[in-house]
Amino acid sequence: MTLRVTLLVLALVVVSLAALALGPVSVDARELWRVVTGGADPVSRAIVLDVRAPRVALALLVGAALGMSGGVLQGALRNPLAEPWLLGVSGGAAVGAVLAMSAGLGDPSFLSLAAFAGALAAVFVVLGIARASGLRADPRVLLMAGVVVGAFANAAIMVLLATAPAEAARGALWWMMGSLGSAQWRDVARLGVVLAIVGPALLHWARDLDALALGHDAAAALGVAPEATSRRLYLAASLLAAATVAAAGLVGFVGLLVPHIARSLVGSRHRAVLAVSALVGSTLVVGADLAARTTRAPAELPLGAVTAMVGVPFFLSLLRRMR
Amino acid sequence: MIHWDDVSVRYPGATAQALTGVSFTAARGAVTAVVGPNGSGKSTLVRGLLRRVPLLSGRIVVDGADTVAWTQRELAQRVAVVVQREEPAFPMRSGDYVAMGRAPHTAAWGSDARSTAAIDSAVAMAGVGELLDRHTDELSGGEWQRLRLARAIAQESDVIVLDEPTTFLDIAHEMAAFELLADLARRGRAVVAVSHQLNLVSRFANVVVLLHRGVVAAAGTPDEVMQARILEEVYEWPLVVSRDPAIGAPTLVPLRRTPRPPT
Amino acid sequence: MSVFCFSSRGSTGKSWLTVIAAVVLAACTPAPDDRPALDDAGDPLPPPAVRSRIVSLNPATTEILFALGAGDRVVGRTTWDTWPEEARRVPDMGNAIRPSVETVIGARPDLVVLYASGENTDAARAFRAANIDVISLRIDSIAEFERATMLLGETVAEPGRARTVVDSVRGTLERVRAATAGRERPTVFMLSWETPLMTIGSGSFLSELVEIAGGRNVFADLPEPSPQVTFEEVLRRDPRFILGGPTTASKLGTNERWRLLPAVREGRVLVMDTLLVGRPGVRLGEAAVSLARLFHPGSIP
Repeated sequence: MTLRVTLLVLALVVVSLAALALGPVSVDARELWRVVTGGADPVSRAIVLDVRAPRVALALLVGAALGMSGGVLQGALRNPLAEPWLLGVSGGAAVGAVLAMSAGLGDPSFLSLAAFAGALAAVFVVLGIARASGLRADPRVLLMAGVVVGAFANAAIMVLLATAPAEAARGALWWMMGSLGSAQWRDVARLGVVLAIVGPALLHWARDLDALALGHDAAAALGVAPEATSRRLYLAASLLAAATVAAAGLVGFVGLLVPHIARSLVGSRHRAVLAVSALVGSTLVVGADLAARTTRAPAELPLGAVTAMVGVPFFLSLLRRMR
Repeated sequence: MIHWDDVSVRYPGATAQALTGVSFTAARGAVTAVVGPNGSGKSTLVRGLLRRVPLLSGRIVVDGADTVAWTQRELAQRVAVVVQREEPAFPMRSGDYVAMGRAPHTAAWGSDARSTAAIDSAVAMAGVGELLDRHTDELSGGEWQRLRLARAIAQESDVIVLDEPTTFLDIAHEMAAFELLADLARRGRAVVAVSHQLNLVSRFANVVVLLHRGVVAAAGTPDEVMQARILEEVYEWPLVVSRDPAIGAPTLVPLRRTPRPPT
Repeated sequence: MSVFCFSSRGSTGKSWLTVIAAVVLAACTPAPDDRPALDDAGDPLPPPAVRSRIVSLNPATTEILFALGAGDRVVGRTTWDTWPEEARRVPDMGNAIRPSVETVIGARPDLVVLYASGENTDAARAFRAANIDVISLRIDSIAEFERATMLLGETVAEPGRARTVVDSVRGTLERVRAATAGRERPTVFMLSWETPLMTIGSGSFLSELVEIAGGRNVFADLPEPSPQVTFEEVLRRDPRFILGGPTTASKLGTNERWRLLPAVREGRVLVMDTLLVGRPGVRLGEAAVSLARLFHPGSIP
């Protein structure tokens, strides 16, 4: 297993370097070295350090956060199709962002804040619905509440877009497809802080996830209070998802696919699954972002579309191996 | 020992109580069986212990201490429970599954020698050694049941409570499981087995508690409880209780209501 | 810029007063090269300089730059900047909205002309962070076109040619206005998009062109450049002419719904050259001429 992990880390390093070197403007290896050590052409410097580096860093963090979030939700909800957006996060974030854009407040900082706030509000609504039903942490009730909130959010978005000016509608659509195009170091720092706090906490709680994955009764028998622990885990996973939305819009498929890849590599124990999900997620998103900005350069493909296109064949091959 | 003291439970939203004033003690060194028809509240006893459903009144006491003040983790350290339904959402290595029995005792990171010893001894007792490298989704129903037993034994608790431990087991494994429970009791644990297998219970239990509609209908030795008139009333089915000297315990045989058609 | 404006209270003689008054007047008058300090995105304007590498991310500004004689210094354009013919030889940098920052920086420009929009603020910031001058312009009306031309002219140190371009366009527009002045103004409905149904409001240069060409925009009461309208409203206003692009206009004649309009039934659907009329660039004058010929055939030889 350490061999596999080492290979993964290596893959991540290679794809990250490639992402720094490749793009519509090519920067060869020597130039890249000079950017780091000094003495490079200022244009190359600007491109690598100001345009690509924050993008790659943000991609790393987004991938790690989504991978871990997906892994946590799949374990806590006992559902292999769970993903970070399940508990209303995507709908809430989109409503927040579209509201802001329709109101003309399309400034990127405000947009991030609006998306983040929308996401968290939706999560609390979903948990509230579950609580009101009397079955607080029952996965099925949560999933249904998530679907309901998502449907409502979609309706709200359609109404908003129908009455919004053309620019706002286009901007909203772009945002909902996910992009790292406007990555800045400030975004990297924000997501970095969230991940630095929530990530290790999730690794610490990984054993509780193992217990929860056996069922709530069995988890209780192993000393894990199922409802309180589940709630804590849902919130942590949704917080990570909301933080990535604030930074990069809605990037789909990563949180669904990556934990499965991780499990196929290192088994089902969640400490390993979460850590490897972070690694695999980072690699996937850095690679997808690289593809998004080079495949049809100088135009940029939406990141969410690329992750889906890359993810689907992966998923199919996993399914085949699982039979 | 573990003592249910005047425990009443009502499920949220239900009109009738699932348990009313249930009291009994399961002593160390003994196998205490809880029997009764479907819906009599047997599983509710276990769920109440695990706090999956709140107690309306009463308390559960372990070795003199009221469990109400304990955290879920502390409870798991003192009482091991094998629940009725358990299925890993993602297949895991069987050896890892048994090791989870040590979770209530160990810190989040790392393991210790005591744990390894406990796991090894549990594996040996439950006879699951050759299953350890296989994954949980590859096991048969009976193998999975035994693995779960091993996990509970690895918890090294004074009390072990099992809810229907012999489902999916064939005759040989059923007997082996109950012999294991008797052995655990002999070694000093308090064993509580919720079971609908009256004939196995009569062979292995020291104390039988018969539940009927959430109330203790009878409690005592198997001879005292397994009597036709008591059981017929509770199970609402005609039956015969015989005593075969070769077996040494009462045997319950339900009678057919509809005659066998002539061959 | 002068800030000292004080009234003279000298009593030493009328001649001195005159001199002092003249000096004061000169000091109080704004300097000839005074201009607004901000571009259309609210950022400070770059200083005038001879720019040798300009990236223009907007069809209108590309046209203007070529008209200013700076065409040979344009090193990047968007995919839609196809006029004049020489512009096609300039490297294509992609979109005007959310441009590829990397590609533009890679062309080593000393000036980037952006379309002023909320979606371009990130790109503007990125270019400025790479020490490249940026000017963000929005051209929706004829007045904005003139302003943009003057601003661009100053930024690339060609103020004189900018003046010439503006005067020339203005002149043609005036001639068209005069040629159609006395005639009856037909009402015109401009079909911009079918689903949803969108037209041109008074906030757009197209509406102004229609007025100059002797027509009347039937939805001039709507201030937005591209408002959405209902078909019932179009029916109610019963425009004399329907003006659309070649592809849209051709479908109307056989469409059941559109045939409810007298203008369609009686064949009064006019086709405009969208490449000429579709953007507020240096050919505004020709655009007005083409429209005038449609509304008032024979008014302009």
